[in-house]
Amino acid sequence: MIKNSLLSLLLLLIISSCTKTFDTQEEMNDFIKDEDNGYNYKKTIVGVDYVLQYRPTDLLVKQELGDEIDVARVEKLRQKYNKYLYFNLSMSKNNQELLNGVARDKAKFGQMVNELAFGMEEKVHLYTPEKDTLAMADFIYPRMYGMSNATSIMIVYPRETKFMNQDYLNFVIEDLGLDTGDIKFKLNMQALQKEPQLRF
Amino acid sequence: MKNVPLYTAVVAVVLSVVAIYFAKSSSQLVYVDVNKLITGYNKTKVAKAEFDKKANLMKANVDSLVGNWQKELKNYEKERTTLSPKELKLKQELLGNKQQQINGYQEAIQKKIQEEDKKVTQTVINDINDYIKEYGKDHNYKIIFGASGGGNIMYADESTDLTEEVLKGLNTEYDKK
Repeated sequence: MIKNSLLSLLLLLIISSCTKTFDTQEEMNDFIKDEDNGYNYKKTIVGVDYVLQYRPTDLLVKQELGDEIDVARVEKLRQKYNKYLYFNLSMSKNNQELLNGVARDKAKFGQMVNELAFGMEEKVHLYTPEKDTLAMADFIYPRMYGMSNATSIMIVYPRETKFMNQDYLNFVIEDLGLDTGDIKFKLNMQALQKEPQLRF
Repeated sequence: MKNVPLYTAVVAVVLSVVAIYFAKSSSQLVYVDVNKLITGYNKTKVAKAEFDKKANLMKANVDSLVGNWQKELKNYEKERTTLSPKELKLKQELLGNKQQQINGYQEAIQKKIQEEDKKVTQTVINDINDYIKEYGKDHNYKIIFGASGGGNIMYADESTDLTEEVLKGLNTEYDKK
């Protein structure tokens, strides 16, 4: 009995030492933004800036809960959002949305709107080093009509154990007509496995 | 007790040798031959084959359109004497329009092929850049030069050439199955 409780205490200690916990959303955001922590990836290719950021489960829980913290709901929501991996992909050129750059060309503009709104599952891929692809669950592109300084898309993938256990996954964004070629980010899966949490 | 200074001296020598070794490996000036990396990278071959296939298909479409138009032109030349002036004018206009359309299509295809080529090349360059960045970080290099044969690196000792090693790693990562 004592042995078991000691073992569970040890396990709890190990788990708690692996995951970072934060008191506020702002602290967590600062931690995520630091590229060294493995949740934020940046790249600039031929003048196009790409930022890929992982959104931990607790940030989504907090977003839904707002200021009304209810412990029972926290667990329920954690279970709900924990089934998926959420990413924010921001793309900009000259600190403007991508569509601004092609606004003069009607055909290109139309094609890009179409791709951003309906075709991202064909343009964004997540796969293992052995090229086993994880199918995208969903994505959302909120149009900002030039009011934002980057085109942002939220991309959702199912959290599958087989993929989570990899050292890294390749996140590839195909060329969206800006001559950037395919953009690849290597996602550090160890960081994603021990994602940071919020103290509710 | 007598041997303490001796041991300290030995430890100091070992430490300095290790320090010199690490300092040397991290501050060493090394380079890669970018052209060799691009041509030797297995992805380039695959991407090039795919691109050639696409380009050939597009060109074949243009060729068949041009072929049809030439046939029509020949028929027109044959029938020319039997046609009335009105029919002749109409046929000429028709052929002229068709030729213009084909030219436009040909130009669009050419542009598309060029864009596709640019895309493929940039993808390969992105991959190589990513790998070299990672390689440099992992091996503690402060700088890795990229020689492209344009005279930016005029002389380098063979031991500073990382091309083969980088190429091997790049292909191993790409061919992982």
